[in-house]
Amino acid sequence: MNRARALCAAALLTALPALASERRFALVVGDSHGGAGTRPLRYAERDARRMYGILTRLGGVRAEDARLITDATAEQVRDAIVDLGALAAAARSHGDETVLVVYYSGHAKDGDLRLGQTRMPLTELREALQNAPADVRIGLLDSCQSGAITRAKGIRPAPAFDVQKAAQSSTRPHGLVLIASSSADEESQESDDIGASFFTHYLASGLLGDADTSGDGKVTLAEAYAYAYARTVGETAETRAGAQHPVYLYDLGGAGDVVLTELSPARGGLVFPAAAEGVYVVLDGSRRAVAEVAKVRGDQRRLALAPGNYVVKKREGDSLLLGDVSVSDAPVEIADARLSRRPLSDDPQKGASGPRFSVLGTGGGQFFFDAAARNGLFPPAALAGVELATRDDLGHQLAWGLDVAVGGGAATLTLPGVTPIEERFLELGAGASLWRDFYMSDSLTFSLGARLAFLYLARNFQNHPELPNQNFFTLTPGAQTALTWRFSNRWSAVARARVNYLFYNVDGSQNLGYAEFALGVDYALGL
Amino acid sequence: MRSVCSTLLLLACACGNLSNEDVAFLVAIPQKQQLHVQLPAQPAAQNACAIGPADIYASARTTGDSINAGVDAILALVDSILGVTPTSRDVDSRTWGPFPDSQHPGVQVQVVMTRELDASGTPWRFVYTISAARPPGAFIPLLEGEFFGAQARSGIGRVTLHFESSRQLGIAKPTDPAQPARIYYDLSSDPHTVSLDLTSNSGFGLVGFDYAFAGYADGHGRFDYAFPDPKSGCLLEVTTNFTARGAGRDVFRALCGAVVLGDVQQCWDVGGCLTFVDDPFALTAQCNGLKPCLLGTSTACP
Repeated sequence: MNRARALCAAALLTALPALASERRFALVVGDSHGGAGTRPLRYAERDARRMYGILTRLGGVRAEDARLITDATAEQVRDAIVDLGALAAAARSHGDETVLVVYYSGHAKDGDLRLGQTRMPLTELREALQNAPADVRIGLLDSCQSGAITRAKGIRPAPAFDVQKAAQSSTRPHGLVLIASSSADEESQESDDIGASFFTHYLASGLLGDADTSGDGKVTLAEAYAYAYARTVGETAETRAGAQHPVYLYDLGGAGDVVLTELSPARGGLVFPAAAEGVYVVLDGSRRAVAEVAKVRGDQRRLALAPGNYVVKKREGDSLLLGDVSVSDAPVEIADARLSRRPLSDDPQKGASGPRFSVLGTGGGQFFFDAAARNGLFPPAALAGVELATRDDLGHQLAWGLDVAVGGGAATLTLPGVTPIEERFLELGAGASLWRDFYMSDSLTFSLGARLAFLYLARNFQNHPELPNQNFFTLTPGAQTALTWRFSNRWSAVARARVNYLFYNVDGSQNLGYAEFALGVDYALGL
Repeated sequence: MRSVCSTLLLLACACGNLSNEDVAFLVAIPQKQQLHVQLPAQPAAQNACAIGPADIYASARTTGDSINAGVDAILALVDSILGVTPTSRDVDSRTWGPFPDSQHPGVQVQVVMTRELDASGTPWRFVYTISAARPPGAFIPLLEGEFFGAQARSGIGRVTLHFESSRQLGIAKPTDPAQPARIYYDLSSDPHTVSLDLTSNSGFGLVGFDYAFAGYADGHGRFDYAFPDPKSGCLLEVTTNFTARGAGRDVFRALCGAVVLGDVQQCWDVGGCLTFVDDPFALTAQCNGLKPCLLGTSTACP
């Protein structure tokens, strides 16, 4: 913590016009999957998108100079670094000062970045940054044990950003800065409450303006790091995994610090006046936290948010202050008096970790266990269905879904002494399911849950027009299990089995059971 | 709110008429077309006939149509419950109603069908009763059926329509017979036989007679019927045998008051033209009153 404050203080002493005549490049990588032995991350891709948005909106990175890669492979990352390096080299040849930022959110383990089934050694990434043809190279890693990247042969992490010393130089900043979200033996943690990893969330909040302790409308590398360090350590201190300590390697020469974001291009945003005090959380329309402001009385603070509608909340004792704000070109002042006081139960961020939606299409069959029931009454049926599922809405790894299915077929009814009667039958089903996902590996998920369905069956006898059409409908409770194999970012193959109970009471009362088997393809929405 | 509750209750129940046993009951009930008199198709156009058209055989078709209409009228009552879900189900019985007779205000109708199973569990006998009442009067049978065999298409049965009951309840039509009419059928072997017993009655446009039809699988058959001859004023009782293609022969006699004249033989070809006439009484129009009348040759008979 002291180190972070030292960084912050050092940054306050320095203010440089960093963005002038500069050309900035950014590679932003977010990958939820780390291959064997890892569990899918929930917010890595969202973290990457947030950082991409901030860097291109406030970080001076032009859209054509930015690369956002999700669900990446190591080869794609290597190619992107080479690609951006070539652009940086070309810019340097034209006399531009160049900055290359590489941000990564994903798995890291045993000294490697885990990119799906591929790996990229941290040493390789560090060397790639070390050798990249840009004046300033910044690596921001939000992954477990990512602090290992700061352990470089011949290079020792500096105790703090030695900005004062650097300021004595006559040249602009040049060199390498590596910031990792956790030390080499720590896990980097995600938070369902904020819907992001702790480190990226606070780094993003800082870059949006809360780290601007100098109040000059610019967030420097030192300010951002100091802010993210303090908030990450503070907020993870009470978690089950324990405090998470970001680390850095600073090998930056030349004058002054690097400005990461400049708030002035964004004319709108939220302004927290000097009198405001407390932790304000800003949520987007999906109730996901986009920024936090840890406000102390006496300073005005501005968050340079993109235009849009937001909810600002502040917890105060046993109640909540809530307010809807619309951000456009003009700053919007947030004062407690303009927020409405609500009970804590109205917290809009509950469940804001974000439900994930998916659509599953299935084809399969239905089979009643009782042989007599299969005789024309409930014959084996082919079924096609679709299900809309919501995950992590009711709780972590909990999912619920609504499904409909249609099916039918032809069958033969056999009655004693009667010529077999051909029949055609139709079946409609609609159900609601609740289940829990168990992640077996990066790509394999086992699910177990319960389902309540409405079942409608109808049949007719084409060769016996004298016989009336018949139908039956009821509610059937049951259990279901599924095995899901994720084979791409959005697509998964699903094998599902259900066992249901059905009470039949037309020809006497019978307790029947049936099974449904289905194979399907699941498409994840809104990633 | 009430509709929401009703919908929820409906969803929560196990409802419907999906029943194999209902099917087992219903397939035992004979269908109209199964009990129809089915004569060979009529020739598309009447050719010029050497002797003349077979008028007696032509009357078989109109009589058959009247019988079919009578059968339809009787079985329409049976059909009325086919599309209705039973009101109550027991292992070996089904009951529909009582429910109001939509065509006769104040009349309640009830249908009960029972069955008996043999040792193997196969139905061998069904009893079908349609009763009606004008409350507070008691139910009296309008129709009784007894069907043997698990399915009508290969079964034997008897259906009795109690016109005396419908007259008692005041729901009879003016053309209905006054006494019971009975249908007997045997679809268990070749030929399929159907008879309409109107011996003590007249009705459905038919004179009192025991009408009988036998149809073979290959299309040939026999039809016994009677009809009033408008020319002679006599009642003709006819026994007709026909081939699948429509040629045939008949023997008829004429009941003219107390006098019985017979037998007269006629044969005809597939075009409906007489090929042979042996009519000692010149009842055949082509005899022009000459007795005895012998036209054509008997070798032309099928």
